[in-house]
Amino acid sequence: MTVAVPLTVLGGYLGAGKTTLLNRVLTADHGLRIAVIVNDFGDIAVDEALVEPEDGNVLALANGCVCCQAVDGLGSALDDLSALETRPDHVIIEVSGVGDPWAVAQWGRTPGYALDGVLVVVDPESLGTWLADQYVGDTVADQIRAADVLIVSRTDIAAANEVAAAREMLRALSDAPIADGPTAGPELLLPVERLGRQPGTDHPLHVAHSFVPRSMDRAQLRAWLDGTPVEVVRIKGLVDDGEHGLIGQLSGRRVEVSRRRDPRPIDPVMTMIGRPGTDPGVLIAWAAGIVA
Amino acid sequence: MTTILTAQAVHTIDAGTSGDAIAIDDGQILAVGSAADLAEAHPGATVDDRYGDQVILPGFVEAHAHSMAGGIWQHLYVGYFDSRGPDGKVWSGCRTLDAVIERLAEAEATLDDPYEPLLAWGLDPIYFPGERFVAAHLDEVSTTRPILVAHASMHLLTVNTAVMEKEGIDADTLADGVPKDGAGDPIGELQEPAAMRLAGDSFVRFFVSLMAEEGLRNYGRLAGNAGVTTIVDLGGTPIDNDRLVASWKSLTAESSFPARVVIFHNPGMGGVTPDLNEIAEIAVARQGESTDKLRFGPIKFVLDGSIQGYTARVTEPYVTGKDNGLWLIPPAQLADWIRPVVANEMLLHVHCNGDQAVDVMLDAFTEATGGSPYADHRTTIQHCQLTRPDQYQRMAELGMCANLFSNHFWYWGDQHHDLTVGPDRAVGMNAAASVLGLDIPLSIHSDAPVTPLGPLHVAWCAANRQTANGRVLGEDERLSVDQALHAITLGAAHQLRMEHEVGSITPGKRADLVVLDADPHDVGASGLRGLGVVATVLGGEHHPVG
Repeated sequence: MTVAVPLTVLGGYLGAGKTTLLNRVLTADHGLRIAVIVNDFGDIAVDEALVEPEDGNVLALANGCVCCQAVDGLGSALDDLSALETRPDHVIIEVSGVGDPWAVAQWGRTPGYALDGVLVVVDPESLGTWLADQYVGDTVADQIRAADVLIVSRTDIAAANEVAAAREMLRALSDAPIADGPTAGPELLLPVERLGRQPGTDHPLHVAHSFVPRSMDRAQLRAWLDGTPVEVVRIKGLVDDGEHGLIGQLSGRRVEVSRRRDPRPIDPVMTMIGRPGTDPGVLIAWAAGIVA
Repeated sequence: MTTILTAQAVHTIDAGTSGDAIAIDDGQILAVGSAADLAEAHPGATVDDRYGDQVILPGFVEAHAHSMAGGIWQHLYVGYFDSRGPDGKVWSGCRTLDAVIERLAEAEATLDDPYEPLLAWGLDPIYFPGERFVAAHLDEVSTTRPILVAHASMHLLTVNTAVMEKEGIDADTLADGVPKDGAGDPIGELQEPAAMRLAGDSFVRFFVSLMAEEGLRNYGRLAGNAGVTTIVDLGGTPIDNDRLVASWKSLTAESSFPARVVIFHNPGMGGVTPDLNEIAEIAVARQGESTDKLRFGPIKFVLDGSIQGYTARVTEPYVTGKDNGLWLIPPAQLADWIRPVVANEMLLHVHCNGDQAVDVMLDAFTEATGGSPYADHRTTIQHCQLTRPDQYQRMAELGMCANLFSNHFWYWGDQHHDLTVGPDRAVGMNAAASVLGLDIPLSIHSDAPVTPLGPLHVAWCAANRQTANGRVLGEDERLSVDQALHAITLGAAHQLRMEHEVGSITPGKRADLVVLDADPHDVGASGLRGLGVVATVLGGEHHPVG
């Protein structure tokens, strides 16, 4: 049995800044083999990225009826990736401008994959207009409600009052963490476990802390994850429960604990990612609650 | 070699022709008149009176159906209403969940290979309020053989415990579309594509089979049985799918294939946000490969979902369930999608079930064409079910056509009245008489496999607007028998830009005919759905039903 490939869903309305964020992550120096399933080839930086279209690593996203999604669309795209000789380290699905990110995120439950996070990007300058739009206001609000983590794009060029207003609109719809697009990147989109293993965990864009957790049961792991301080945006790890092990995960405000099916023994490890600028002491203190 | 086909009556759907006999030569209609006059005008012609006691109309034209309607009959039918399969056999509706289980058990008993999955379709839980069809029901049929039942909406499956065990669907399965019972175990429902696909091999077998060549052959048989001689595949066949295109070419080249097929390409299906200019190029190129029985070129867009699925985009919220539906194309992009289609003067049909979708379509079309589209463009709004009077006015001004989903009155009229849009909107749905009153070209459709392929049933619905519980929804919008027959023949042909070839019995047109066992005018509006189709004639070739 192979390790599940983490899968991140990137949503947001037209012009929100999804492609900009995606391109920055693809071209960052992470050494990971990332497959991207896009809704629109238009502006994806496939040439510069580690993705190689001829390998079928950039794939088309279906946004049609049930049958085409299931047979020719996302389902078969994920099957194609699973069938590659070298499976990707990570899969990112970019959702169409009117797509429901949480519905697409369900593809992260496909055998061989593990849903990593649901990120939704908004543009501070147009968010108010789209939320008030008679046709798509509800669609945009639903996208925001679906997010584990919200990302406000263009905070470096938008007016400060617009950014603040956008944050308020987001807060009214969701209690998910809100990140700044220009600084957000690998720490939100890339697999937690890979970030934690990178040398120099004091990366300028995130703060990571890895440790070995003690043995515990499902309820104890869930209780620990549920209480995580807001400075910590992502957690993922393996815990010994006396059986095959537990997989625990926090993505923004979403917590999941699942049982491992693979009978091979595990090396328990837990990795936490904090927001840029977070005092590493916050992470270490919270980890102390379950450290071995 | 001229043949004179005689009948008890011939209804030409052409004000200029009348009679009780048709002279046919080389697959074309030469003349219509009395048998005696035609014999005199065509000495040496063979008189064929095999339909002498029957009634002939132009072959029906179905302008909204999907080829999957044929493929799905490779699997067991367990729907609520009676339905006729491609072999002509009428399957009675399963009116209770026990009846569903009984039919599954009968089919299970005929399977030799113990590992072959039993695949079924058509279950619509909307007719079983308060009951839920779950794995425990299917386990009564078999605890070892995988069993999968696709619901009528195709957005939901019920599978048995054998499937769940085989595919590892259990208490730990996280997908949203896998509902659990009080003990935390999955109940056997798999909702929406991502969860449906967890059914693994059974799922793949079911869905891949839908577009297999045998399914396309079935589609032709269904058409013939329903009296349809020209049918669309509205968005089911991507025109850049060479395998499917080749299947269609070889199938329609067979003289036994009883219908002309018009392939509409849906560029939003199964791919990236399309490059519409490129699509237009491909469509125009494919157009050159068209034959007498196979047509390429038209384009279909899908803007929203369905009313009974609460996914149609509406201006006023649904009365129960959700507030509003979903978009399949971003409204702000629709004008960009339309522009290249209009620039190439291609035929465009757009699925808009809810009135908000129609608003977006009208605005986008106006923007893309500057409000003055090219002459006689025949852009058609498909379904068009909740369209308001002010919108029909705009459609008339823009020269658009309407293809209404009149079958809804029978299949979901009560649900629309009670659950989805409420009585006020339900009586105004599929307002066919209003459409004709504004001189908007009208057709009506089945959307098979959503409802069974059968223009006579659709015509009955449009002429009676009666629900399964006997309610009449909007009696002022009922069509006359002649109006309903026009809508399923010439009206539909017009929307396919084929009215110069088919849709009426007119000299010079193709000899595409349907033979009925009684006269629609004798049975009247209430009897339309009871009429029997005896045979069809396609380009002069006879195709008996069954």
